[in-house]
Amino acid sequence: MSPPLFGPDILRALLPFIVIAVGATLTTLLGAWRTRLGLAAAVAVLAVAVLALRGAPDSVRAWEGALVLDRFALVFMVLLLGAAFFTLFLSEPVLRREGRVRAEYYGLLLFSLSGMFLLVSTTNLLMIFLALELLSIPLYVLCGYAREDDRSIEAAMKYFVLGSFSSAIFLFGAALLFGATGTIDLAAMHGGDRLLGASGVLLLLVGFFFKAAAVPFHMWAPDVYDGAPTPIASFMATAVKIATFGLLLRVLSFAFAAEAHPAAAFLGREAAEPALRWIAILTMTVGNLSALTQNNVKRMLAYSSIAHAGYLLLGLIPGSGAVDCAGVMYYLLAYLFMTSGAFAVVAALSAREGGREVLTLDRYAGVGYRRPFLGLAMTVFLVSLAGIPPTAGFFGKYLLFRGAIERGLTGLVVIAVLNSALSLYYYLRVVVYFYMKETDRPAAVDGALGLRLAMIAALAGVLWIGFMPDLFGLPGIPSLLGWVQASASSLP
Amino acid sequence: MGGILTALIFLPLAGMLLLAFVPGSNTRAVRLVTLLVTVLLFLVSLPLAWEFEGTGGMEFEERAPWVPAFGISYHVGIDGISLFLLLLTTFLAPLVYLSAWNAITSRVKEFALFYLLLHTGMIGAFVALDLFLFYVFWELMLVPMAFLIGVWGGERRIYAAVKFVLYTVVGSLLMLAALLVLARHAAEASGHLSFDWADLVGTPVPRTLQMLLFGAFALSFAIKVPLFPFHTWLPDAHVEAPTAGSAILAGILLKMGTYGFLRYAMPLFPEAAQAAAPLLAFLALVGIVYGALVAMVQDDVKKLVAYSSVSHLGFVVLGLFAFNTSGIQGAIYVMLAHGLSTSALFLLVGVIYERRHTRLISEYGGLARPMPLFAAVFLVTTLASIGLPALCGFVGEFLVLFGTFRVHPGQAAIAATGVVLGAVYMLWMVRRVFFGPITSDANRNLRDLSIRELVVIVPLLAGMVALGVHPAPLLDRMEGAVERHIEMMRGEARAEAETPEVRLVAEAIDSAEETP
Repeated sequence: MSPPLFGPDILRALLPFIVIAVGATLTTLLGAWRTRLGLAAAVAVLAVAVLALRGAPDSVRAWEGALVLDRFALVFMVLLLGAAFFTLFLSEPVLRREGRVRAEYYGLLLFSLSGMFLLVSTTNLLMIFLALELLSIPLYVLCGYAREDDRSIEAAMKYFVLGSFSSAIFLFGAALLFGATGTIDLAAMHGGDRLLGASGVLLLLVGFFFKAAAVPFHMWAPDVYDGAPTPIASFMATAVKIATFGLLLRVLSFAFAAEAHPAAAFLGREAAEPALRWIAILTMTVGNLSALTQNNVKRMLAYSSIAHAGYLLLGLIPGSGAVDCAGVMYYLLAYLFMTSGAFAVVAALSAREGGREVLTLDRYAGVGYRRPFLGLAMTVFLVSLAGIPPTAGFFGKYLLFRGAIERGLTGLVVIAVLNSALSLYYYLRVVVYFYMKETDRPAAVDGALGLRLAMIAALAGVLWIGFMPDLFGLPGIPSLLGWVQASASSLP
Repeated sequence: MGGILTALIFLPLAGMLLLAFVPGSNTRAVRLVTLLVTVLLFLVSLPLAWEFEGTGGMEFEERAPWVPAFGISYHVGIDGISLFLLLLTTFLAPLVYLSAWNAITSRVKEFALFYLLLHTGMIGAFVALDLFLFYVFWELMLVPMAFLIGVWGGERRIYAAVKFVLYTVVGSLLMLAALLVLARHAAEASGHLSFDWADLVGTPVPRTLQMLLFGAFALSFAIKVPLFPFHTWLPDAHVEAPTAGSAILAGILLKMGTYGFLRYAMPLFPEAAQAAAPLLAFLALVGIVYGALVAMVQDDVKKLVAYSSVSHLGFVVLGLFAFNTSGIQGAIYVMLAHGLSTSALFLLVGVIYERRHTRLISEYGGLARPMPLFAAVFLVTTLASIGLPALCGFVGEFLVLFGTFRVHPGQAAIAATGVVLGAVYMLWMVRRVFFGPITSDANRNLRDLSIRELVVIVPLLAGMVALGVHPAPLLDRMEGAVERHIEMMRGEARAEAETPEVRLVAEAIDSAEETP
């Protein structure tokens, strides 16, 4: 018997998507006459989306896996909403500073967000493709949003070309998988031609790795982050990464499911695991090594986000167990706070001078003394990114590494740990400039309210998780770890 | 008297909070508040000294859950090993800050904040009994120290700060990985995840795994000690750090490495520790001789003292890996003595640096004439450092040599040359700086020690003499913990056999020094 096509549960499950998509359309339309209200509209949409999420059921599966709303998807949606809020707070001051406030900007942002929502709540290959495009196309536009700046245009172009390329690869992989198994629902795949299936999954992964900027598919990231407006770079470093890893977790949990699971048939562990290991090692090492020599802060953060993708990939390697869903989620939460915070500081410091953003490190000299809070916040974010306790980044790494060790990946953990030590060097360099160097041309500091709010929220998150890694400390809120662990039960 | 240790950990943090409300431009108020906090820190720690019973187990223990889901608890306590290191920390805190009273003129408030944060890290690391908690404090020390070097240091301060951080972090992150492996292994045996020292210390670990884990822990601690050949960060950090930073670095931070060996690396992995002992003893010996030889050819006083630390810390490691009571007691004693004498030396070098802005030995000569008091104090400190009987250096080095001699006479013989070389480079430096004709006119009218400088140095001198003349109270309190340590390492039989002899030695030293 087939499940009903529509029911009250499915409708309630669809509500968050509808809110975001309709909200995105309305916000874009608003651009026609009340373009200054874009931020207010976007915040309202997100607020309604939060309400819709609170009422959403957590075990809906419909339309051949095109809609899968489980606890796993809900956790990722919460993370994505968090990233979206941070981006909004960063956007308004930067747009205002550059005289580019337009409602369409927020509309595009929301469209992209709706794509991410879809991406983490589906097991249907066609839906994944749709979601990927919905996520990417608004971002291509947003990367080129600062259109007088040739680097912004270059970023948009580069991201567009490589993005389309990766979509094509993904599509090819999906086609092969369909050919091998006769279905486009990952959850229903079993049997079929093993070689065809394995090549399909590998191509699928290549497509995802482009989006996640994993080495060797990372080349676009530094240029795009550098050229794109800072809030968009932040959005790509946080939200896109969160969505992609949500998708990766879901796909790989099927691919690496226990042998008894039917899905295991189409991808033997022996095929993908070594590839994943090497990609993880390369991603963190190349990311960190390249970040070492950067003088441009946004490029440094781009390489740093590549390196963090490498650590996250550790959680996707099953080793002697299964993919480490809880570890990856926890890390993403920590990563969201520290990366958004770091980008907020960069946004505050990168006012344009003669059309170009101020991004070189030497202009940051002495900022720590002129702006004590900003200096302190940036130091905490960087220390957290490097994984020094007591910060969120430390506990994120701790959980990931512990999980990896429990799955017998000690060698990889040692490499990751050495990489963390390496990363401290370039994070520390920023602090060195903040506090230990002088300059006669210091960067101007933008003290806009939105940026400050973003920094305060990020700082609170980083320290809260750093001191109370398991509890939110408020009555009625369950243990954080329990929350992410419970969501992992949604995966096969 | 519960809660003292927690109070000690959080007092500096409370001080930081208080400082946040003091305007940075009012440097006098900032300095006074900080001094007050550090004095309070010392006063709060004092009851530990007389309420300590010396049972050999942990005392003043406090436990609270921190992150139960991760098996992490807030568990602190001290035994005879950590008691004195803790007291040394709180003892030096006000003195070192007072020494920096006039030396730190820029960003006084930030200096005070980092100084206090550093103390939270150090105190926490000495009293933590949960490996995870220890790791957190261990890393917490790093950031403020890097700032102290990097912001208030000398010309190459940034290079020195970054080098210090990177060296330390490579080691400590490997330690973290080893910690996770160990906790997982213990959890498999016991059924629940725990980082508690007491839970982990009895866990049997297979030999190969022990070697790997011990390697990771030992590397981390060896870098911090610093053991040859991991010592190269030390001269840079010491020379570039401001005087107060060098004093804390030499006085306390270097002890973290040897303390780590004693508290963690050795009892957690006893078999591996025994297997690695020859290698570590060898490196310690190389450090003793090499450090001394390199110190001899330095033309910068501060660098000379820095290399002398390499040599002295070699004695500590040598004593630890003799695996007998006198060796280990001696090692702890050297740690304390070195903490007093070397931080005093750094402070004294700071005194002349403040006056002349150079540390080159060749710039000085005949200082004893304009600064007789300073010369006398410096000489006494030097003598304490090279181990003259009746001063603090002697007891520890003697016990280490004695303990080592009983197991490896050859090692003791080589180490003894380090004592001789120590006397050579130190006294030679003193001769060149203080005696002979005054070669530079700038030195003719130097001010002698001020009241403030005397207030800093006199307690240190008193400590050096007290430790040298009357070691029994300290050795008695250490004994229980040291014996328990040896039991963990070797089984009970041999530890008991050694006890009476050590008591004899201690008494012999006591009586020898009481009769002039």
